[in-house]
Amino acid sequence: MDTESARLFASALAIGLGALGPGLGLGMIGSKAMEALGRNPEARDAIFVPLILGLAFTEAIGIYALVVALIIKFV
Amino acid sequence: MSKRRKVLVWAVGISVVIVALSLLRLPTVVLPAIVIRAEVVLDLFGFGITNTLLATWLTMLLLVLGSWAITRRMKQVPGRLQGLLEMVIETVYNLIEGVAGRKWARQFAPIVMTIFFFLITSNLLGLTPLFGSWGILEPAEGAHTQGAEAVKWLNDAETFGLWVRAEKLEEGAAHEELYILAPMFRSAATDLNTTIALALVSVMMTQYFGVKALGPTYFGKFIAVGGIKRAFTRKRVGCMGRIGALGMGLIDIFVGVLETISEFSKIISFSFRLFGNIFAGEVLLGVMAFLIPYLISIPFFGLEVFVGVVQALVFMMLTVAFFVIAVSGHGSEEHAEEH
Repeated sequence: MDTESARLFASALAIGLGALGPGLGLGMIGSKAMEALGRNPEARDAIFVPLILGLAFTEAIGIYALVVALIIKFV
Repeated sequence: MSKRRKVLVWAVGISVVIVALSLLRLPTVVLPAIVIRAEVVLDLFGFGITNTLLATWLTMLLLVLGSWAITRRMKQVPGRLQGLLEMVIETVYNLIEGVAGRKWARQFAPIVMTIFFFLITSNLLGLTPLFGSWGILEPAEGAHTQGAEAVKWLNDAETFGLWVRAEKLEEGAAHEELYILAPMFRSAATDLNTTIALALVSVMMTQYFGVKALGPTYFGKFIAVGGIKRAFTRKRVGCMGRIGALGMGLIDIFVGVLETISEFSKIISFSFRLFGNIFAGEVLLGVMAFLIPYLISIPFFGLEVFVGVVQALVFMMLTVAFFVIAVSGHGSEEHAEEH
């Protein structure tokens, strides 16, 4: 395998595998938030900020993978 | 009803004109070069001005002029623009107050709302049509051509134009003829320098508010020698009690080191989150628009508008959350993290 195709594989694997974990995590956060909303719809405002923060922290990991993939591809 | 119909007619008309123009192929629009480093497009007294810096200046100009124009003649009963701005500010302020409490919200709001408005303006500005689609053609060099559409310049002398009139080259064309498009403006957050600067501001202000609230004891969080000191100075404890306290003190020191590291990792996570989201959005839009033209990229455009707003909100809310953790002392830390 020459360097160019190795780079393509590497960037595809970096984002593909790197998106797995954050995807699962985001799904868990979302499902728990929906569950909480279903149990107590009045808690909407109280849930919103922690939900956004949790999503941001989890999503950041996926973004790291994305940045690594972009660096492999374009730098 | 008739007003809505009018808007619909205009929207359909404009779309038809755009599609017709693009079918005529008068201006050939090329995919701008996808490079992570911001391109230098101007030369100001020896300083290279990058396209992201130009976009930052444009954002600042818009914010300053916009706020001046809207607040110039403030009225008790607000007009449309003033009303809109008041509504946005009130909503965001309430969000901050919900996390930080009444006392601190007044102090946090100026800095974090500046970050919010800067980011939301720059992110949405980057999505404005014609913002990043024109620029300077640069000679392509080696690895620089990667991911970009190399084009041949068709006009004679100019290297500057609203649309690039150019022709895609076949593979294996003469190397001197290859050009790539470096856009004149590029969304500010697609430059890691911008996002690192904002992250540094956020983390520095966290330390500032921590010291302001707790005084020098704030740094006890990072250099936690209090536990060890207590182990030696406490009276009326046996040898085993002293050893136990010493062990707890060592754990405290280790936790302090972790706190220090987490302070630095905040810079990284802040800057890469924003950079990654916005840069990936630009790449996604570009690639989608050139992969399947015209209609397929519209849902992605909506997604990117959403992402731009959410990222501005997330940057602001995380900053507020870190401020709150910093100003609440060691004892009430668990309470602060509940928010």
